Amino acid sequence: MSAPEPIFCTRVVASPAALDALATDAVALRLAPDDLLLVGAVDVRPDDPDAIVCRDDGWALRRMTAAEASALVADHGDWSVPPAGIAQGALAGLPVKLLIDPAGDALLLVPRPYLADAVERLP
Amino acid sequence: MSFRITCPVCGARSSTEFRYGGEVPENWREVWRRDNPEGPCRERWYHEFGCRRWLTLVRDTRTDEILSYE
Amino acid sequence: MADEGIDAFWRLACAGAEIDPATPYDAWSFAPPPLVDLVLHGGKRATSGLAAECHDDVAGGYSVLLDAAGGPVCVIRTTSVEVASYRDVPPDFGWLEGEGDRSLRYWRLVHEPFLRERCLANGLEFADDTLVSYQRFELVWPAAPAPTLTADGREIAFASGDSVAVALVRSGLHPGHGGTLCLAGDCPNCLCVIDDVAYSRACLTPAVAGMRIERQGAGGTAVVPAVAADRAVGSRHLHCDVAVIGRGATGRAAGDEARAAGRSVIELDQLNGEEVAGVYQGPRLLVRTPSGLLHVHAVEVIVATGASEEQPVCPGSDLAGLYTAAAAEVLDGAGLLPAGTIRLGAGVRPVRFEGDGAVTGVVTLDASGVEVRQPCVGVVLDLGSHPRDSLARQGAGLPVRAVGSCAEISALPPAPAAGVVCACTGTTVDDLASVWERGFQTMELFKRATLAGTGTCQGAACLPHLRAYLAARGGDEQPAFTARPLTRQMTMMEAAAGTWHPPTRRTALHETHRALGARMERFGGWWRPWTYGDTLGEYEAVRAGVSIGDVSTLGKMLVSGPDAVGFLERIYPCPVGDLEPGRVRYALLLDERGYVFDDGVIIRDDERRFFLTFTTGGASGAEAWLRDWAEAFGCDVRLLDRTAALGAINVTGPRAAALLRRCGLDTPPAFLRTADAVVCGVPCRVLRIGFTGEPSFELHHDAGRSAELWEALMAAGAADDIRPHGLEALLALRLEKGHIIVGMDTDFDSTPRRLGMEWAVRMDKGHDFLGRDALERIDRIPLDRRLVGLEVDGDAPVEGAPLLDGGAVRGNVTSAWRSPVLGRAVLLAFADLVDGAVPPTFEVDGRTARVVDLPFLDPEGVRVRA
Ligand SMILES: [Zn+2]
Repeated sequence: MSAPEPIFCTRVVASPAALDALATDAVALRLAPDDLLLVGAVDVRPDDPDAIVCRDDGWALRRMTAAEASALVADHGDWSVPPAGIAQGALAGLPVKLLIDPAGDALLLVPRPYLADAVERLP
Repeated sequence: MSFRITCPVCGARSSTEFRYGGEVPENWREVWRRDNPEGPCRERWYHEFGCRRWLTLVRDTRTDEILSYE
Repeated sequence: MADEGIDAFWRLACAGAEIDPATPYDAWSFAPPPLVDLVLHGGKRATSGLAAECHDDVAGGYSVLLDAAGGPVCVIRTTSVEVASYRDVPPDFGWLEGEGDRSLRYWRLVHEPFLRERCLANGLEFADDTLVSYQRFELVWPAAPAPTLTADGREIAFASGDSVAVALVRSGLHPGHGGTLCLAGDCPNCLCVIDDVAYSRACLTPAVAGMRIERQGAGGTAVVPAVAADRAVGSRHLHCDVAVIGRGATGRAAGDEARAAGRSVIELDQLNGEEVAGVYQGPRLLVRTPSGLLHVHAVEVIVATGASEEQPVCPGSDLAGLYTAAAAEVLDGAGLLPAGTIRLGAGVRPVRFEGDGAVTGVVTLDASGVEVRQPCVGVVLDLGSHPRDSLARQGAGLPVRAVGSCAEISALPPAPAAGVVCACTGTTVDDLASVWERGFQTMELFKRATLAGTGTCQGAACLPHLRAYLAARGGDEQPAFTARPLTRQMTMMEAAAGTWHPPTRRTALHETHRALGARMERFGGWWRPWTYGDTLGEYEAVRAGVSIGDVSTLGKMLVSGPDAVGFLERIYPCPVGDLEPGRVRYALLLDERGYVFDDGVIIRDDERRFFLTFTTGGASGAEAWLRDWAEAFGCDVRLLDRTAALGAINVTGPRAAALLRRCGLDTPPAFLRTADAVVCGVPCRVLRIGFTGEPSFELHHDAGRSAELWEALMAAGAADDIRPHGLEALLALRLEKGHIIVGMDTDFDSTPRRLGMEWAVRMDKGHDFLGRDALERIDRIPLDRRLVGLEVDGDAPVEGAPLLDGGAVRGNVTSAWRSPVLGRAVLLAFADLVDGAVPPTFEVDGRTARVVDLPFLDPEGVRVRA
């Protein structure tokens, strides 16, 4: 598998209701009820006057299959990957995000400061 | 040994993914008061390796069994 | 044959094995086909099937065995075909089939489901008397070479499929010097150092060519070899509803039942190389496997580990040549039970064994109680069995339950009269008596006083005898002692499997620093450039010209929301509400006890939106800190950690502003001001601060553009001899200005007053804040020590050096540096107050240190505001 690549994302922090109502075609990871990570530059305007919307260069991304993601987590994590959707947790001691799509593709996101560790620890 | 904590956002994870926030004080002016009970203890845990949010739970300090979540 | 490939293979075999190529042959594969590997490498020499499907099979026929893809693998010749009922399976058949641990038990375990399936396909009903075709064969081509391993330095041959224990017996060696062999993983009598792993159970370890074995035996200590850590051990985690330990009939039934109820099941058996070493909270099972450690997280654990045969306790029980009934079955199947081996009847307990090293006679009592001696070369015992329940007992209080014979209560044996009770620790019946006399009369005390049960087998062999002894001495019948992990030996590599040291983060400029020759050091959880090789030159560049430094590691947070102001007022000891957009305010962070744990700056973006910075070391805790208090205070705020997303480059020095003007920043902000601007084409938030004592501009920008901005600044500053500075120079620069580094110049109990930073706290700001109550109380107590500046002639003393006053220790140095500008060493130090004042001098490093006002350099701040 390939090494993760630094990417830029769009980060949206807003009230849960505003995020629920947000419609976007972008690849989206709901990190928490009030926290949304969108892959790429996305123009979104959540219905929340205090929303924080900003470019987020803090991530590196690796594409893989859902099966590869499951194997990776079995080998380097102590949790299991859901059939679809987002998963967050420690993988080889690194805080990672996974997005599994039901078609069988998966994205692994690693905080950019840990990119080199991810390359070393997640072959 | 670690034990499992079920994060309401992320699901069941090892306690090693969490930062321990200590007992929940009765009020924030008395945060230095720690009862350190032997048995059920209401406490805060921060899911550092996942959603980075706090949760409150009741843990039996003798067995590390999580008795309830809030 | 139709298949030309198979026919060509057959002709090759005929040439090699001198067979007439015209001889008819058959071609087929096993179910499942990979079993053919056991024929080549595992000593498999028999197969069986439903008699109704094997009418044509005759002795003497040749077969080409095929693999899963239908490719030819080897040629065999059937040597015998017998038909008998399932119940009458020949005793050596488990061994000959070569599967699992080659026991009959395992043979039944895998063949019963197979035969049931074949019956179903033929419209038959499977029963004990179903006719089975038992066929033996020999491998004709290619011939398998006899593999060898090294035992106690001697090369010995073994048969494919042997366990290490069987391989040793085959060469005439007791696997562990002596003691009754169980060959079932229960006793400590076959312990060996196998390929540098001490305390390995030889009976559970398949023999592999080239292995190095040293016999260890019960109670034998092994010099644990120092092994280069080149065998990385993996660690896997599996999750299920039900984990079943033991794949005997009871375990399989429990698994089937759970599956039928729609629950996910994981089955584990040591016969498949899965040794469950411990049961932990969760419940979680720690399992040793040949491919590494396996953690099984289950909702429920079912322990179906069955029962283990009782070990004899009597004089001579440590001799070689003693076997449990099950061990005798395995050895007999392999043809390794020597003639002259006596089988004692069920329940017949020997009085003693005789012999020197190996058994030569066994003494039993006849019906009238008279001793009878029988000469022999081996003894097979049949003493009954006891639940193999240590894993179930480890799970006490957890959803772990035992089923089958593992859960049954067995009758205790008669109290042992003489001999070794616990072979692992060498505890004898005399030892038990001695301990009893001294008043240790319960099971747990027995264990602690004698160590019986604390060895490798964890009581599997001795526990029934200890209980019997206590019961016979008049104690209540005692429950088994507490079982705890681990029940299997664990190597250091296994113990370390799946653990990771905390990673050290890298900024987006990491490779840039390395390309510039920086020496990288870990600091506050990040890799940072310590020096680019000329710290004094880097220092000079800041003081006299212009320099850049990577400060991407600073913690950075965005806070917004209707309660943002009220929230931050409660977080910080300085006012927040009066902060105007465009201004930068330095702030301490206090905990509830009024102690300083971090510092940084506050910037206001608009009415209810703020940008905060924290120290490198404090960044990882800042987000948790803010979220916790936002919830505790019930404040409606949005929080976003920007630490990884934003890079930051500090442009500093007397010529910094001029450089930035050339880079597109027409009006660099004044001291403690901030502005958004485009620098070298990169959008930046510019913070004018003064940590170095010179004009400093922190350029916060999207981390993905850090390298681009850095290169552009270096290029634009070339005419000014711009050079980057590392952390070592930065620590010196700020020290001359008397700026503290939290964590270096603070202790866990540093109040603002002790740091001489009361100016950063506004008790009268009109808002309650964290630490305020504590500070009020602390302020009523006289100050006892404070951070001071000291000067010493000569070189800088070591950081941490004590401050002496008349021979008494009065404090310690927190930072030190020989200032090139001032020509002497400058120090920050904690100093005790004497009679309410700091003495004017201390002795540090044998020299006189003078207390001076801070900062050491530019007290009016002329340079930093320039
Ligand atoms: Zn979480």
